[in-house]
Amino acid sequence: MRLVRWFRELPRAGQVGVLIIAMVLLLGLIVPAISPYGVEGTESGSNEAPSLAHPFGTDQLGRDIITRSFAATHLDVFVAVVGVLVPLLIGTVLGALAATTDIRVIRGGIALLIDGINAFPFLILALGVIAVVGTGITGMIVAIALTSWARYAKLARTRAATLRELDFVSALKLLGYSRVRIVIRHILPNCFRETAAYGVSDFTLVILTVAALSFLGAGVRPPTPEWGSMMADGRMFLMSAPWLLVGPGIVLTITAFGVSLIGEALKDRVRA
Amino acid sequence: MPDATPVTTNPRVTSSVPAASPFLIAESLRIGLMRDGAELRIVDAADFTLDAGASLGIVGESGSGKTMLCRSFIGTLPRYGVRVLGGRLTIGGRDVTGATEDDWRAIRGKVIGYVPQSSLAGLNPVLTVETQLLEALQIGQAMDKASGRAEARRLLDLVRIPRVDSVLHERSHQLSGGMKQRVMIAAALALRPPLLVLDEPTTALDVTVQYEILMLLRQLREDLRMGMILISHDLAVVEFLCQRVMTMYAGATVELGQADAIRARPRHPYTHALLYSRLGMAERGQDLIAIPGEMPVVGAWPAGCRFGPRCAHAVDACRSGPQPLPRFVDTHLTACIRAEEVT
Amino acid sequence: MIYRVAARSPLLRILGRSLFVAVAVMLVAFSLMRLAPGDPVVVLLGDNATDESIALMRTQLGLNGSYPEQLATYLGGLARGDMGKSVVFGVSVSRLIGQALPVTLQLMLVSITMTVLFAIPISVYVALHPRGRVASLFLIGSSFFVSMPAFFIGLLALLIAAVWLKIAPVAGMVGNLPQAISYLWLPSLVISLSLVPILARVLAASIASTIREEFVEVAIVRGVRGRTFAWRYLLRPSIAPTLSLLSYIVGTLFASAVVVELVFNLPGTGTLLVNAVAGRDYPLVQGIVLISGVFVVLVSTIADIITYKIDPRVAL
Repeated sequence: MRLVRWFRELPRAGQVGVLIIAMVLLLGLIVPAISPYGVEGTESGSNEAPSLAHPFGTDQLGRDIITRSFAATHLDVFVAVVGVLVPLLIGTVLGALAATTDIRVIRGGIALLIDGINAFPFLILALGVIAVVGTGITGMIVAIALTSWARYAKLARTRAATLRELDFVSALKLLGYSRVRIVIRHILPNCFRETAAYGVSDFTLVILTVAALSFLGAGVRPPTPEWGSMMADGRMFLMSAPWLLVGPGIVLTITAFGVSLIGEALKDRVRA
Repeated sequence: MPDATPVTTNPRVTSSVPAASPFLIAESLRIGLMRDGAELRIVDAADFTLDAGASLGIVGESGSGKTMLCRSFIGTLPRYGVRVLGGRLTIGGRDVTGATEDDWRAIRGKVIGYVPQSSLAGLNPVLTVETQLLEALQIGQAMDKASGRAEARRLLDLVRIPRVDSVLHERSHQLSGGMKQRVMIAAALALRPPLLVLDEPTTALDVTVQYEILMLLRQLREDLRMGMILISHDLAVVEFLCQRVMTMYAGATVELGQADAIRARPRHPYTHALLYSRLGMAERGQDLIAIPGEMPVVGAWPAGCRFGPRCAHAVDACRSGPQPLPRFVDTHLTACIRAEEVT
Repeated sequence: MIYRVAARSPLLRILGRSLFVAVAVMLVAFSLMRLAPGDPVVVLLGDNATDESIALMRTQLGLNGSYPEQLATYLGGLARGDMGKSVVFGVSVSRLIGQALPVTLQLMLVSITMTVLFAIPISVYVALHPRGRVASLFLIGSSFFVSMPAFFIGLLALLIAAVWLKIAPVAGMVGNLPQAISYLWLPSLVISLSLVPILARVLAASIASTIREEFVEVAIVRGVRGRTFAWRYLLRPSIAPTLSLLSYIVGTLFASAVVVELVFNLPGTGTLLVNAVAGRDYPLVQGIVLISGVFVVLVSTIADIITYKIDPRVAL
């Protein structure tokens, strides 16, 4: 019931976004399940153009592209969710800590890291981390977490610093509440509300980054179905079989579009 | 205070305005917007004239419609999403009731100068004073840089700005409030318009600065023989600067006449209250009057006299029918049906 | 003390702040190689490496001694312009970057020029007609293009313009600007397609709030119009809030350049970085990452100074 009301109160564009994502997730479950070919099945001819039997065509190994494009939803959405949640948690806690601690080393150290990490182009630093920690799903998540937390930390630090100056916090102090308790019970939840709203709009960036990393060969390795690596295959056959690229590209774009519509809607609401 | 540089009147002004007819004529002017097929009026039936070189002060609280009436003189109503709904407005012999942007271009700067509220950013923060003065001088006339600069200096001298050289190269954030307003006046005077429209020109300024600016404006009005329309919530400011006064309440004109006549004997309870809610008047042995209640918002005007619900003298006759039209009572116009009895 | 002097002059404050970030950037780049699980040297050389080759590689990577000693070696090297030697290519990292960077810089220059040229008219129009059909089309279109990965746009553009229409070369780049424009216009267009929405949105919002300012009304009444009005009263006062976005835009630009260079086979830092990551060429990866960070810091410093110069309202 609360979900229905939440949906009703969203702006029109946000509702469209929710519907798009619901549809993509549903198709991600249904299409691979009812597909007669399976995700790894190579029975069909290679690089077949789209047809009734294969709506998105087949790839160089004769695998059905629509099945793989929608099967990829699981992995990509999972990596994106983790890639948003982990840095969100770390960043918010560290940001709140930097704003509330009196220990100058911690405060300055976190400030140095926040500024240092945020200065880099996200994708490039993530590539750098992957070069060191290794490719694959874990490497990708570690890279995204290590490079993204600083964005949340910056938001949380600003929010916590404002809250610390607020009257109700000093009132709590007068009542004898300990600093740790004030931070955990009153400041952190406030910071999380702010970073969470940002996290939703950050989702689009993370989805696109995951795909870009895999496209560049630094993320998920074949044969696991993933949009970016499928499109990297498509690049080889760009002239002879462009559908290798277009199928996963469309599913990826629609997903990112849906998420960004939701993100915009939620951001507007936080601002209001 | 030193005398302003003597200025000869602009020949363009005298030639463009026929001596007999008033410079500005408002006839049953209605301003507002259409909502659900009906007129939502902000200014209702404004009727007045202004002779060339004459001055009129429009007084009212916020929500009285004075600001939108002022915008109709400078042609920026569309910025506020409103327009002239009916009636007629003539400026300098030109009907501007339904004037388009192109029509207004012929009038702006040359016929009407505009000085904005002192509390708002009237100067472009990223341009120097000189750039903005040159810009004002070059509207509709070619002027080379050297003579433009000389003119700009002359304008700043005219509004009595000291250390002209440095001020010319300063930007808005480097100037004090009074300085900014002097620059705004200088820019408005650039093309010697026969009419100056001022919207709360001294509101946010310190009292001493406010007085200096008012003195300057009065001097300029006399020296340049310039017409002036002043919008203010402060009756004292209006009286100081203008020969005639018009009081507005909830979009309607409630009193209109010579400033000294109205000061001597206001014939509308609202003007009366405005006059005696001032401390200076109360010290002369009168009671300080506070007006109970608040002005009704646009679209929620009461039947009868719109001031009725807040008026101490209201009787049944005041509470029905349309808003009373201004009529002559002895010296000037008032919209109060009980003027003779209660004032 | 220094802090107090700096606080008095906005320019010094900008420079001091940039210096802090630059130091932070160097520390992050330094720490990058120390993130490796286990010994990076063993990872590089494999289990059969001899002790001598391990010791040699350790020196080459600057991994001798304690962390502070390593940091001192690293910073000392940077001061001399030495970023180590590429493991794969066997030449100095600065030389490799020196060859690749001009390509990337030219690509970025053309891209940012295109982006600004597209974004200004769009944002002015949208700000002036906020409820028009164009504005809503722009809003939906911009969400869509931002959601489209640069490599997807790039490959589609390659397919359409180079393969089907044959109006652009399929790949590579010969010479430098201005001749190289025939190679750079398509990749730059691809990059600007995802940047224009970001820039135009912020610029349109900024212009929309400028329009409501009193000085705009004053200028209208004064009779200012046409290009003078658009530039002096709509754009210039609206640029300052947009410039603070510049470091974000340059970062995005640099990141888009990586994938777009790969798609269009341009021999820039992006292609170099992707190859370095694939070959686990730690010093080269570290060098390119560092350059990208330093570049962004440099650009945002310049942006801050320009902001301060053209619009001193902005309290820094």
